[in-house]
Amino acid sequence: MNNKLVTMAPWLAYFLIFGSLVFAGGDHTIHIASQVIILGLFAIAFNVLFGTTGLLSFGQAIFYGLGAYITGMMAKSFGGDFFVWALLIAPVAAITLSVLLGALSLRLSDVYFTMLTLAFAQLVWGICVKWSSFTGGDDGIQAIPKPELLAGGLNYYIFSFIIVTVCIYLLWRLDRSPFGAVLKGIRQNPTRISFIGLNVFRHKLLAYMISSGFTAVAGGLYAGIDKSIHPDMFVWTMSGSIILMTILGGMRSFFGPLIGVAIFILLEDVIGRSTQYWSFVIGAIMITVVLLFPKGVVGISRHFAGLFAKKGGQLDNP
Amino acid sequence: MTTLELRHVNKHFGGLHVSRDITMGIEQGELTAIIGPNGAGKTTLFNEITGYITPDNGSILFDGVEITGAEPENLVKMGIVRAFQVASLFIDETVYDNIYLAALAFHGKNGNIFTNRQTYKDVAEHCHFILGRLGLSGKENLKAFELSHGDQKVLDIAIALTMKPKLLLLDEPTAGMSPDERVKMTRLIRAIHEEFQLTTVFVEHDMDMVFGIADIIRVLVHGELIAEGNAEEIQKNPAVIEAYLGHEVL
Amino acid sequence: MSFEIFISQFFGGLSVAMLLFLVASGLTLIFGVAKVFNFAHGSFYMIGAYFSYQAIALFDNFWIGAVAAALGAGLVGMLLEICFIRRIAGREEEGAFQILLTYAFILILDDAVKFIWGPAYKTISKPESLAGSMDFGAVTIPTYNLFIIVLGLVIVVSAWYVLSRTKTGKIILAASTDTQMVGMLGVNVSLVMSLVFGVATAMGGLAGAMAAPLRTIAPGTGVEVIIDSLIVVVIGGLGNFWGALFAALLIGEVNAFGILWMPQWASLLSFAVMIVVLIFKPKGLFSREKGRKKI
Repeated sequence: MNNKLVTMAPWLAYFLIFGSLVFAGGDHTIHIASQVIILGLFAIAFNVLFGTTGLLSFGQAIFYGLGAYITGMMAKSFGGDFFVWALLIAPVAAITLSVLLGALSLRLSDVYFTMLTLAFAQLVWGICVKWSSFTGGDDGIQAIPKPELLAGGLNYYIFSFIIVTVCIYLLWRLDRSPFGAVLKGIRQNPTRISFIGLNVFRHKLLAYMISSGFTAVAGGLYAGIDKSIHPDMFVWTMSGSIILMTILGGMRSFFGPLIGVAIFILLEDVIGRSTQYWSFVIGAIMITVVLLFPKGVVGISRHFAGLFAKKGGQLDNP
Repeated sequence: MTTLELRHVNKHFGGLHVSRDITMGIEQGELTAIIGPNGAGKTTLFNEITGYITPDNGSILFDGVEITGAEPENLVKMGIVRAFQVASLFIDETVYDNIYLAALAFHGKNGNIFTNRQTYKDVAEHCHFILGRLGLSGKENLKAFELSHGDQKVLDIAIALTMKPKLLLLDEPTAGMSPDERVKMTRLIRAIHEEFQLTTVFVEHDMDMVFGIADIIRVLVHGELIAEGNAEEIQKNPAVIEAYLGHEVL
Repeated sequence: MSFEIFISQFFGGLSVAMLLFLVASGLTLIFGVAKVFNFAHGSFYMIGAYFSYQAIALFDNFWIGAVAAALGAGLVGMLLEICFIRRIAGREEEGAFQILLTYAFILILDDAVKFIWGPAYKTISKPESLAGSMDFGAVTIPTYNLFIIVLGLVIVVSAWYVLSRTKTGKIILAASTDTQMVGMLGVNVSLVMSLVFGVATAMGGLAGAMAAPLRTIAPGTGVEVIIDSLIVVVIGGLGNFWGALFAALLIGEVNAFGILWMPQWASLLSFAVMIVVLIFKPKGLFSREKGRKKI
């Protein structure tokens, strides 16, 4: 019973925080919260690759941008009512693309994988910018129509919250599933995975497909926040920021990436607007986290919780 | 019946000839020791049999089926399973989860994406059986990295046994162990060999153990199989004495 | 295509290839020897260009600029290696953390040059002695391009000589494969690693200074350069010196001729080449691994 409470506590906090915003948030807060949950889904989906499987992709922005462009362009072409359907088509397209890219990059060693995902991301970004007759080029696409029901900021937040929650729940199940156990095994010891009769490549590919599919959903949702999308969603610093948010929160914990996203977005809201050297700040945070707190915020709090528990134990047994 | 057969297996690493035309047949139910000085190509031979590397030429047959060049994961499914010289574990997981992962793989649950892994009763039973049989029962909640060196080697073998092998390959099962642990490990290998009706091949430097439990001993020197036979035959074999001359092994 | 255009594109491609090789070989050297993947390698190219710009502004001499670029980039490289990269050596998932750390360098160096020199483009003119062009019958080739080709060849040959024919080279290569043993023989391995890092980043900085008269100097160029070098390194095989040379030549020429063929998409052609190579030779054209499986 106690155990169950421990596993459910993060969910309770999640619903309390993001649910209460529905009633308490002003326009700006809701805008920020929408970004947090949508990028939170992106980061948690990314962490299926990084924290769970040990694969550092520097190109998940491909699928984020793809989701956004599919949703945005379809809604623009076929009307606002198509927006929701486009959200379903986006992950299918992303999964299809991920099979192709994964087949090329996942058979190689980890460093190669990272570099190739980056190179592919730059390729897709280049296509998006240059093929301006189709994608709108550098300007992106503005005034993306949405169904009337999702028009206001608050309504769209509620809609995003529901979809993100379903997605995060599915990823949470995955984390605790046999497949999730295999992925953790691949991170720790891929050779042993082969020698218990499992194909490492196939499991990695499936993880890559799943991560990419959920990332596209996040991208599609993002297209509806400001009703505008732009090629920067594909750019490599987008992937870089997601990586930073993930390790900032804690890559060894399921909800860690979401916490990292929240901290990052709040910082950006406070500091990012008052300096033109925001990249420098991001870089400095990254170095600090990598050198001093590789386990992120969750790691730090677990550490202190551990100290506290030990002290408590000593009091019980003098 | 011959379980494992090697025919003229050769392997080079650069200029080094690490398997020299090795031909041997291992009968079903045999407990074989492979011995030889360091650098004799024993681990390479294991790597070839288990699909980790592919021989340059020659063929390997398992139960009469050609398996040369097959992937390790497919060989595991056929029943060729190994333990490693340095225990190969999922180091951040508990003892139980190490075996559980192997059991999930064995029962084909590895592709189940959205089910809770605690739901499979048959898998759990399988784990408890293995834990109990290998004497790891009290330690199932320890993390693999918290185990003693000896227990890590036992866990490595436990993972292998979970895969229900027909042919079990053990690479230096007693390496780095205390004398006490060695005795236990030796007994354990003999016991599981009979109980699980295995064909077992092990590489070993501890000659007490080799002559104590092996049915057949095969001697590898510079990648070449120079002798095979029972303990008595090997001890009298002039080629073996020659190879080990100067070593106080025999 | 006329013969004249062919020749002039060919030499244009060759000079681009040499610059690319200077950067990519540094990347591959650091990876091959120090086992560090230096994501920020392109940023050393960028700061090299800025250092050279600054030195030329002060001394009005192109060659002082080149020296300043190599020395400055090399020193910054060594400093970052000693202060940061070395600290995460041996950690679990070191590779991923190296990439993240060097990624942070990219962000910081980009903003640092913006802070110091401002966001606007800077330019350098060619040195007067090399500003003209040479006539070869019907074909005219800018002298500066020929100079870069020659410089590239000199560096290729001397790097090869140092690594394969001198004691220093043997120590460097041994330190990369057998760190402990070389350490026991009294070689200061971490010093060797820092020096390798310094030399490689100096090569990147020099490439930046040499390229500056042909391109513009701007914040963010580091990323374009690292992507091009990545493509070169993937095609040639990571850690492979000759592979990097061949791939740089290939990409240089593909770009030079691609721009005639399909101007708008030329910049994406190198990606296409990389993908084709990956399909047929996943570890690069010059990968030597045989027999061993991928695991």
